[in-house]
This record gives sequence, structure tokens and C-alpha cells, in this order.
Amino acid sequence: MRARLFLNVFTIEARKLMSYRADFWINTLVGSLANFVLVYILWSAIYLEPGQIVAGYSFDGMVLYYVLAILLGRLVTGSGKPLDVGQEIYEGSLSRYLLFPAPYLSIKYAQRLGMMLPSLIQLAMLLGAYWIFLPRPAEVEFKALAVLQGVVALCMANALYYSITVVLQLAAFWADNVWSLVIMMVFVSRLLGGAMVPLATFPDAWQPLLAALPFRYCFGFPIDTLMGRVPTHEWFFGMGVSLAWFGLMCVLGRAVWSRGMLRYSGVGI
Amino acid sequence: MLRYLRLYRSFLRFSFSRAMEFRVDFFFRVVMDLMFYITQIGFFAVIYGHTRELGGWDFDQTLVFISGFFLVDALHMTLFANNLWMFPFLVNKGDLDYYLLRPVSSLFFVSLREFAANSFLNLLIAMGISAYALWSYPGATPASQVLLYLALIANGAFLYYILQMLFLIPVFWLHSARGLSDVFASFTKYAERPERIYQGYVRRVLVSLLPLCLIASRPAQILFEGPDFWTLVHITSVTALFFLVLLLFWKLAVRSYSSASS
Repeated sequence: MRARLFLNVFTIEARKLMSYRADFWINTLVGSLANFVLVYILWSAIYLEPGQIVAGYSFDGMVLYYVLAILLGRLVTGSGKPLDVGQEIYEGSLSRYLLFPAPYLSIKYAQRLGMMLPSLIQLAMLLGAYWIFLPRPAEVEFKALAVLQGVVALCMANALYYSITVVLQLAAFWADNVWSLVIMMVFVSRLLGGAMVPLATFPDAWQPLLAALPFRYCFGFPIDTLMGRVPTHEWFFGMGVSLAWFGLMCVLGRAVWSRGMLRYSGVGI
Repeated sequence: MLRYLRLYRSFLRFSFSRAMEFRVDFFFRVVMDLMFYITQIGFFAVIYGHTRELGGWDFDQTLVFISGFFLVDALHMTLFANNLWMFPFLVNKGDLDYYLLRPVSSLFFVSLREFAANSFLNLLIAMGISAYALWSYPGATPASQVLLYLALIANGAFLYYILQMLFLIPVFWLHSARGLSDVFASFTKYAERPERIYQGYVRRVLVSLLPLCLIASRPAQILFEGPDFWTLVHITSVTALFFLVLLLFWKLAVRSYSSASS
């Protein structure tokens, strides 16, 4: 896909999202704040003693983890907006994309990145608010290398989450409605990925499984990297696992797409 | 009243036959809700790995509470969720006209038109989880208290519907309910946590202005600690008051509805 075309799709999608400004701001500000207040209250009920450490996190560290989980989670999941791939296959509106001078899934990815642009602005604002109003954990030291590694891990997380979602949505070539399949993935990835609770709080016996599954690399891994909790050699290993999952999803996606296109009638169901 | 029951029977017949047409979707939705239950229990299991009590409740009590919330959620998904999901589209496309022309209450028709047969199976699963949680709870729970608890859970499902509807009705003026709907989804998470973790003003708001703690948490508290007259009065009067507000808000909204261009 040509860079100019990619940029055009990206810009249109960002503008489209901003056309419902009230929705957009209400959703982000109130939704993020409501989520944050809830986890703050929940963990306040667990950190009952001063200086208490839970799974290596102080209370302020836990708060920072959730601030990042809420805000960066929006970047990973594409602001929580559905991809519509399944819907377009189901309705037959995929046909018009097949005439476009670029692969369908690249167009969808450009749209998804476009949806995220306004979220980046909000992310900067809300992180600024955190920096001003909330105490920073003593154990977290923001180093340039960790931030750089975190940003790379975040980009990878976005691509990985997209690839998993696409593979599931492509099931629409066979199933009537894949909406519930995607929601199922959201539930599982949030718990096993570290968006609901840091993965370090899981029992030790679970850690190898969590490290092998792709979900950790969507949420917990980039957040812990940014917080400086992932040593460089572990980061390389994590990125390797992440890339392997991404590669597998791409191969799977390509195979499902090819088989699905043989079935696709273009008239919708 | 009989007319409404007959009408609802037709809704049921229609919904079941439709659900059977989309069998894969039926299966996916059952598994989806099952995943929701597993992740919620998993979340609390992890949390209780680091604390003995949460809001004064141990894990057994929290399991009873969260399974009560599953019942509320399953009732909501079965009776109301599909209808409420469609409602903003009806308003925006002008399709609400067809509902307003019927010789029955438009709010009844909009809210209960579609019965989610696939979620009905999840209601049975939620009942199973709830029965297990109650059975394994070591405290004494007399049958009368369990019955009262179940009645309060049903009331919780009704209150949940009222609250969601109140967040959706502004679509008549805002044209898109997406923002408020997402905000409601964020707020509902407050109903999924024990009431006593909240303190001060937050708690007061959650039992009055936005009574999410009355949905599942307060009924569980009544089950564990026994019924208290004033708490029962509080729950029923808040529900009645919110229902009255919903009726008035609906009337106001329908009056400002201008069909397709609304």
C-alpha cells in the first residue's frame, strides 16, 4: 500500500472520529476517569498498611500501572472502536474495498491508526494531568532507554492486537455473527494480558503460561517496560515472542482470507 | 395486563425461532458470557491471592456477590440488552414511528420487543454458579433470606435496565448515544465491586444518585447480615423513584421526537 494512500485513509478516519466531538470527549474523559477512580478505590482497600508492597508494586506504582493500562490500552485496542471487518463481510460491503488500489486489511489498519490519532492527543493531556496531580512512585525511574523500548513494545502491541482481532473477524466468512467472538477475546485478553490486574499478581505457577500467550504483549509488557520493570534481555525475549505471535497471526490471517474469499459471494447474508 | 402478557408471549415465540436460525451466533454468545463469568471470578481469585478481605468480605462472600451480579447481567442480557442496543438506531433512522403507532405502551414495546433466547441459556448457567456459590458459602443463610435475596436480585436487574435507559434517552437530542452509552458501561463496573470498598461521597452517590450498589452488592449484604427494614425501604423506594423518572423522561423525549430527522 502506498504511503500517500495510507495517509489519506488515516486522516479521513481521524476527522470522522472528531466529527462526534461530544461523544469522543465524554467517552474518553469520563470513561477513563471513572475507570481510574474505581481501580484507585479497589486497590486502596487492599493496600491497608503504609509502605505495603503487592507483587513488587507500591501503592503509587500500582496507580501508575493502571493509569498506563487505561490510557495505553486505548492505543492498543484502537480506542475501543470495533473493526467492522466481520460486519462488512456479513453485509457484503466488503465488495467496494476489493476495488480499492490497496489490500483490504492494510486499509483497515490505516483506518484504525486514524482512529487513534485523537486518542494520542488525549493521552498526552491525561498523562500530563497524572504528572501534575498524582505522586510518582519512588521505585519507578523513567529512563530514556526504557521509554524508547516501551514505545516500540507499544507499537508492536497495537499491531499484534489488530492481527488477532482480524483473524477472529475473518471467521465471518463462515459464521453469521462474530461480534461475540471478538468480545470474548476482549474479556480474555484483558485478564490474561494484564489490563484488569498486573500479571505479576498472578500465582507463580501461571507465569510461564502468561509469558507464552500473546495477550501479555498487548498490555502488561509495554506498561512494565515503560515503568522500567523489564530488563533489556527480557525485553528482547518479549519482543521475540511478540513478533512470533504476530507472524503466526499474519500467516493464519492470509490463509483464512484466501479460503474465505473463495466463499465470499459479495451479496451479503 | 393480560393483553401485555399475550403480546410478550408472541415476542418469545418470535425470538426463539429467530435464535434458532443463527446457530453459530447462538453458540458464540453462550461462550462469550461464559468467558465474562470466568474472567470476573478469575479477577477476584487473583485479588484474593493478596488480601484476605475486600470491603469486609472474604472470597466465599465475594463469590456469592459476583454470582448475584451474573444473575443480574444474564437477566438484563436476556430481557433488555438487545432492545436497548437497537434503540438509538430506531430513533436516528426514524423507525421509532412504528413503535409509537402501536396500541400499547411504546416504552414497553421498545424495551421488551426482543427476548435474547441465547442469553437465556446463560441465565441458566448464572443460576448454576449462583447455586454453587450459595451452597459452598459457609455462613448460615435461611431459605427465607435466600428468597428475599433473589427478589432483590430481580429488582437489581430492573434497576440496571432503568439506569441504562436513562443514559440512552438523550439520543433524542444528541443524535448519537455512543458517548453516554460508553460512559454507562464504565460506570457499571462500580456495580461489580463490593459496596464497602467505597467510602464517603462516592458511596453515597452509588446508593442514591447513581444507585449501582443497590443492584447486586446491597442484596448480598442483606443475605449475609439479615434483612433490615430501612435498607429494604431504601432499595424499593429508590427503584420506584427511578422508574418514575424514567417514565417522565420518556414522555418528554417522545414529545421532542421528530421522526427521521430526530
